[in-house]
Amino acid sequence: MPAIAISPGTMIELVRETVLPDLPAGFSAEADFFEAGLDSMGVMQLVMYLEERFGKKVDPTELSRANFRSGLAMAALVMGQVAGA
Amino acid sequence: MKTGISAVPPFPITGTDGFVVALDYLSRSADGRGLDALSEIQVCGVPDHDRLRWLAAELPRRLPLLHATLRKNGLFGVPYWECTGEAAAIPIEFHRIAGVEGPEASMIESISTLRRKRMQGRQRTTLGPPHIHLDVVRTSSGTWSILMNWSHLLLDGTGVELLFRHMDELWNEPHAISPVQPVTRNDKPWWRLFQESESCGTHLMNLGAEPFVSASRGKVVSGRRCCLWETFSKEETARIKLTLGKIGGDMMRTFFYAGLAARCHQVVFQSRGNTNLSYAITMPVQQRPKDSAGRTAIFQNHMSMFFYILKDADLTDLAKASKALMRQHMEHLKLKRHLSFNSMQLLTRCMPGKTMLDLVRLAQRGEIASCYHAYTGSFGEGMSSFCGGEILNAIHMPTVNAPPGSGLFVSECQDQLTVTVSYLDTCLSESETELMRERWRSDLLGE
Repeated sequence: MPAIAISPGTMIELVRETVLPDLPAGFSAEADFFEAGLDSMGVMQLVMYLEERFGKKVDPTELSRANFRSGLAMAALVMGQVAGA
Repeated sequence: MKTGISAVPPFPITGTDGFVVALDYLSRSADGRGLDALSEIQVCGVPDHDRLRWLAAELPRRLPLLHATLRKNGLFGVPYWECTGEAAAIPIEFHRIAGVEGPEASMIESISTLRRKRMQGRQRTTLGPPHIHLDVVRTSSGTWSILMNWSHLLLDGTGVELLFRHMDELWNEPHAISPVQPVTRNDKPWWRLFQESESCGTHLMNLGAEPFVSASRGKVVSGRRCCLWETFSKEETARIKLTLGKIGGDMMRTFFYAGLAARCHQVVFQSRGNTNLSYAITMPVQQRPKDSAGRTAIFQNHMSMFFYILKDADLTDLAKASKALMRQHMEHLKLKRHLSFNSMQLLTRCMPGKTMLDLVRLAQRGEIASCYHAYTGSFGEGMSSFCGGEILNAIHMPTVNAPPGSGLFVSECQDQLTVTVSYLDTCLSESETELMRERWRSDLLGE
């Protein structure tokens, strides 16, 4: 598994690269991905990429809107500080 | 009535529309009725007839697809909506329930009677307007309902909610700007779409390798269109969310309710003495475009469809069923089958409906799926009022064609969950739908 630093910025880049290519520059760590167009299909794609790139297996109980809301929340999820279902 | 002639260029159907056109054809080939649905909003207050009539006249002037006709040039042309028709007002009727005081001349025995009547749809001889019909019913001195009959050719459940939302927006701000319907463009040549479709095509062929069941047993049949639904109270809905929260997070709901659809059908087939069956479950996932101002498209069908196979062993409880669906969903995403399906939809949208369904049913031994299913989420993206009154509840009553002959649909409004089974009476009996109800109550409430 390549060592990639886990940070809100890395998560925002992942979201931009994989599911929301039009995410504006300067999208903040707390800004809401869902308001920017993330949907359930996109979340499931992110689950796949989190496992591929960070080795993070997302448990069904972690599949909550809160955990995918922002770069900050996703970074916390990958680092094991989940927001809960 | 003021009318106008629009000069909107021909509007091609989306890839998903192509499949819906084929299903509408299947429905019409059984008994002449198209694939229509009924949606209802129950509202506090009293209906303002004049302003509702204004809305019914104003919408077609702003939204040309409401008075468009579906046409097709040549055998391999892409069907398109021709918007040159007169922008006639949406038909709207006003009623009151017997015993309720009001100015409406039309008195009906009950709203259920009207729902049953409207659900039967109408004989379709053309694919032109009206695509929508409205009924406004005064249900008590302080409540009313609006029923919208709509054609699936032009709208899907989410689109209907957005249309209701836009009606409310215009009610509050008559000069509000209406969303512009984005045009579906396809720059890929047919051979590229063919190549990209291969993964999904192989998957669909494999679905039929092991026979699955449906309530119509793969036969094209007609029947009376029926619905049984249950709206759970706010307290019950909160309990349901707790139950589901033990299985997975809130982004798992699509899988919960698809699993519920499968389990509710399983109990029916088991009651018929059929065990060790396979179930092909459809799961539509919205892919809704926005216009240049970021407003979500109201019209046309915008979905990628996933088809999953569940066996009896996957359906021993709701947790197992929803996790099995999620596992298959992840596999599909890894193989990019949703993109393959989108290409297949674009490739086949010019195919005559009969040919498309003949191919599907040939590969799948007469069947299309074991049942239909959709979860539309929070009604109107959480809208709480409609045309001057607080919303009490909102329900979708889709109709289904056969095969498969039945479907289970889940929606939410004002923190109340509604589960609806829609069926043809030739495919499911009332006692079988009661079995389904017992199953969903036991799965969702633990009863």
